[in-house]
Order: sequence, then C-alpha cells, then structure tokens
Amino acid sequence: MLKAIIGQKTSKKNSYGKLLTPSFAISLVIFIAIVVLSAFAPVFATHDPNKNELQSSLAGPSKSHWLGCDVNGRDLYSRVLYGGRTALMGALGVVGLSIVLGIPLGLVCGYVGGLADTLIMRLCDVILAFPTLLLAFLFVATFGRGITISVVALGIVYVPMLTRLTRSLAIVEKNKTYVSAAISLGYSPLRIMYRHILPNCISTILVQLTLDLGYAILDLSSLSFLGLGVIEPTADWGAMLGQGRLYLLVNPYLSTVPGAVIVLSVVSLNIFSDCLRQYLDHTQVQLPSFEEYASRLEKQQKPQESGA
Amino acid sequence: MAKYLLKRLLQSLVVLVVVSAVIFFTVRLSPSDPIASITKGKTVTAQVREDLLRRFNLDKSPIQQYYLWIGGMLKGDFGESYQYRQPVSLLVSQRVKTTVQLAALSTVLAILIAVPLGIVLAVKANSFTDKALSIISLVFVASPTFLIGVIFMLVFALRLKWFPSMGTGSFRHLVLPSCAMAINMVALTSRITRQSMIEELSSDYITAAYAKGVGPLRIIFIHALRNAVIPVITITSLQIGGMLVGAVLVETVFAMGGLGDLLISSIKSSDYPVVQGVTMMMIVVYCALSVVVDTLYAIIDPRIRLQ
Repeated sequence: MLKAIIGQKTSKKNSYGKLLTPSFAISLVIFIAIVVLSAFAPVFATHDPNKNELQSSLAGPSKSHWLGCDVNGRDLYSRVLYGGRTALMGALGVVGLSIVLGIPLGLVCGYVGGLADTLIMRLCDVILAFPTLLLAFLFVATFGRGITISVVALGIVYVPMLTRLTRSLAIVEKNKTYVSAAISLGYSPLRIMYRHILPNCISTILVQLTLDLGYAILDLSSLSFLGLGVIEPTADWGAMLGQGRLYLLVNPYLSTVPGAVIVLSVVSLNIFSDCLRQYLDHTQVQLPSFEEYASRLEKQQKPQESGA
Repeated sequence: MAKYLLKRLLQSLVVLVVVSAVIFFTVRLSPSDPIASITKGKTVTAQVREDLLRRFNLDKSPIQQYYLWIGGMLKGDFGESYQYRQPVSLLVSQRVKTTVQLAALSTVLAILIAVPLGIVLAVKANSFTDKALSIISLVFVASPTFLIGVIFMLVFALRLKWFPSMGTGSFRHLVLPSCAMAINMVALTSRITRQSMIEELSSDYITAAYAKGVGPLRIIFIHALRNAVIPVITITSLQIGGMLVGAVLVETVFAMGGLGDLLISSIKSSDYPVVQGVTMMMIVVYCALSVVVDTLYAIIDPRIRLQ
C-alpha cells in the first residue's frame, strides 16, 4: 500500500499523452546503461572481481584501478559491475516470484470471489502484518543466509500487494459487458481470467511492477548490507556498501560508489514508472456511459431539429 | 465508534495469533540443530544434550512448545536466549530504550519538517523551489536508509567531527541516526502533504471561503489542512513498519546496540528464542500502532466509522 501511494505524483505536466518526455528518456537511458554494464560485466570489467591483490588493499583510485580497491585488494570498479548482476538479477527474481504468485491469486480473488477470496485476503493480511524486511529476516534466520533465500523471502513479501492490486482491478473488469459476453459464449473461467480480464489490467500492473523492481533493489541491498543476503565473495552493491563503511576514512568510494549506483537505479526506475503511469492514464480510453452516450446523441440531433 | 474499535481490535487479535504461529513454526523448519547453537558448535555428551533439550523445552512436541511459548509471552516470559543464556525479556529491556528513542525522535523530527514543508510547496506549487525540492525528495525516497547513515557518518562525524560516530549514551549520539532515519520519511511525507494540500486548495469550498473574504492563512491552516492531513496520517502509519526496520539498519551503521543489533546478531547465530521474541514484539507494536492510527482516523473523519 505504501508503495502504491509513493507512485502517485501530483504534477500533471505530462498530460499530452506523450511517452517520450525528457525525464522518461533520461531515466530509460540511465537504467539501460546500468543493465548493459552489469549484464556484460565480463566485457567492461578491468579485473577479476574476486581476485585478491593484498598489496593494493584499500588503494585509492589509480590508472589500473579506476575507483581503487577494497580491503582484500579487489578492484572496486569491476566489483560494482558484477555487483549489478547480483542486485538486478535478485530484484528481477523477487518481482518475478511476486508475478507468478500474485497475479493468479489476485485474479482468482477478484473474478471467482467467495471463500477463495476471503481465505487469500486473510493470508495477505498475515503477510502484511510483518513490516517489510521482518519476514525476510525470519526466513534468513530459519534457512540460513544466501541470495536465493533472500529473493524467495522478499518475493513472498511482495506477493500481497500485487494480489490486492490485481484483485481490485479484476473486480472492476468483472462487471463489464465483455465479461458477460465471454461467459455467455461458454468460455472457461480460466480463459476469461487470462485472455480477457488480465490484458485489460496489465497496464496498471506494469506500472506497479517497474516501481516494485526499484524497491526490490533497495530491500535486497538492505539485507546484504546487514550481512543476511549474499555470501562472500559474491559482489553485491548492498554488501559492498556494508563492508566499505568500515573503511570510510581510507577510501570513501568503497561505500559511496555502490550507494550511488543503488540510488541511480532506483530513481531511474521511479521516474520511468511515473512517466509510464501518466502516459497510460492518458491513453486509457474511457468509454462513455449510457447516459453520456444518450446526451451526446441528443446534442447531435438538436441542431438538425432547429434547422428543420 | 465503540463497535468500530471493537471490530478493529478483534481483527488484529486474530492476525496476531496467526502471525505468532507463522513465526513459531517457520523457525521450527530450520534444518540446523538448536543444540549446536546453544553450545556454540561444541560437541557435548548425551547427558548434557538431554539436559539442554529439557531446559529449553525442546524435548516436547512442537504443538506443546507453541502453547508454552504463547502462555509464557502472555505472562511476559519470552523464553531464554541460546547464546546469552539470559531471558529474552531481559535482553530486550536492556536495549529497547535506544530503539524507542531513535524511532520517536526521528518520527517527531520528520513530521515537524515534512508537514510545514509540504504546505509551503503546495502553496508555491510549480515554482522553482517546488521543482528543485521535488527532484531532491525523489532522490531521498530512493536512497536506502543505511546509505544516508553512512554518508552522514562520513561527513558529520568523521570529517567535520560534529557528532560522535558510534555508540549511545547522550543526545548527541542520537542526532545523526535520527536525522538519517527522518530524511527518508521527510521526503515521502512532504510529497504526500503537498499533493493532498494541492487537492484541497483547488476544491470548491476553498474558492467559496476566498469569496467570503477569509484570509489566506486561515484558509490554509484551518480549512485546507484539516482535510489534507488524513492521507498524511495514513502514510505516517504505514511508515511505522518501515521505521522499525529502518531502526535496525541505522543501529547497525552507528553501532548503537539497540533492538536491531540484537535481532541481527541472533539471526546470524541461530538464536531462535530471541529471533521469535523480538519479531513478535515488533509486530505487536506495529499492530497496536496501526489500531491507534485507525482510531485517530475515525475521530478525524466520521465517514470512516460508517463504512
């Protein structure tokens, strides 16, 4: 719910329905750059991210190590690139898991309703009773540290919000004429949910998912920062920040650079999602209600009458 | 009103019972041996092992253990820590002060800054200040609390040496951590205040008030703010949960030894009684605060009671 509210922005300057506004373009370019740099980390990296060179431990920026080295003498620049892989893949995993569970559950809740709806919603309440990271803490305490556990735990935490969103959208769609038409044609509930209702909800869900991706990056990095996420020597932005903060005075880049990259990716995703929402809001064609249609017809007819 | 409150209380009670079961049985799924965490990995004789099992009630069935845990909690007994061999309630009571101070100070700070800021931004909507600050707040919303903490530490504690960099004890120790926690909240709350104030200020009753000749200050503070404050309360209440986790992160950065530190170190050393106890306490506080906020809500906005 919190995240849904953050997504709402007041200014309506982008009301022309143009998708390619400057802020959209900038955020897209930044995010694509981050994705490409991390995805092709082996190409762009100058060093092996896990190779210890103890003689250059905590070295400052130099020609061979652009951003300096961490305490084990590992090249910071290369580790930031590889860390992006962990962070982005992890966040993608979190959002992916929430899609796989959240959307079907939401559709069932909204379209089928009844007992299933009540049960699933109560289950969501229980998960939502845990402040975001607390359930992830519990999972890590139980099953041990590791990126997989963190991703699964956060994925589960993200499910209720997506379920609620999908449910509320499905309830609106369910009462529209095309659904009654599909029912009368004898289509199965499954077909109606996935082929008819879901495509009509997907734009709003998409906006939420891009926003969630940013928050997943934040939450995963928080877990890694606390030492509950990735296990050494895997590079991860949060973990690097956590380790680097111990050497703040010697080489502040160790924590500020990973931090800056986290902020940059989350901000660009936020702006991206915001522009997407404004664009989709605008293009969403509102079909006139029966009354509006009738009054429009009336207006069209009136000039003819007066002319006659 | 009483009916509404009763319903809300019952709801959260049911959720709490289910949550307690989830916490307890999730932890029981752990593949690691509790005795190993109790003895810190040392091998012990079968006799000692049996004694330890009995001492921590681990010889009983999971259902019995759950009943004992719930029953104990109602009496204020949260069990005994594996690694410290002290009651969880004692460990918590030693550390809770720091966390509560931190959370309270940062919330008060955040509201005191965010609401006036939001009002100013709404009144000056679309001015240069408004645009500049909205970009800044976007950056702060996206910054993890621990990053802000680390940067504050670097700038204000290590370089400028205005405040101590770690530990607790005085008010000066609390300044940097609370500010770090508050910034995130200020960014979010001021945006919500601004949005909600703009909506109120552009509605018909404000135009009517202007037409009647009501002064601008009175319109802003008496007419608009009263209605605009409702979404602000929602967002603040939703942030309470985030704040508990934020406290964990900030306490780690500034090595404050609060509840968060206890929780994280217990997670790392598989100290399940502490993990269960602290998690449960945090959720009870979270639930209680959201009931309080909902009540506040119903007092401010009578429409909510009727739903």
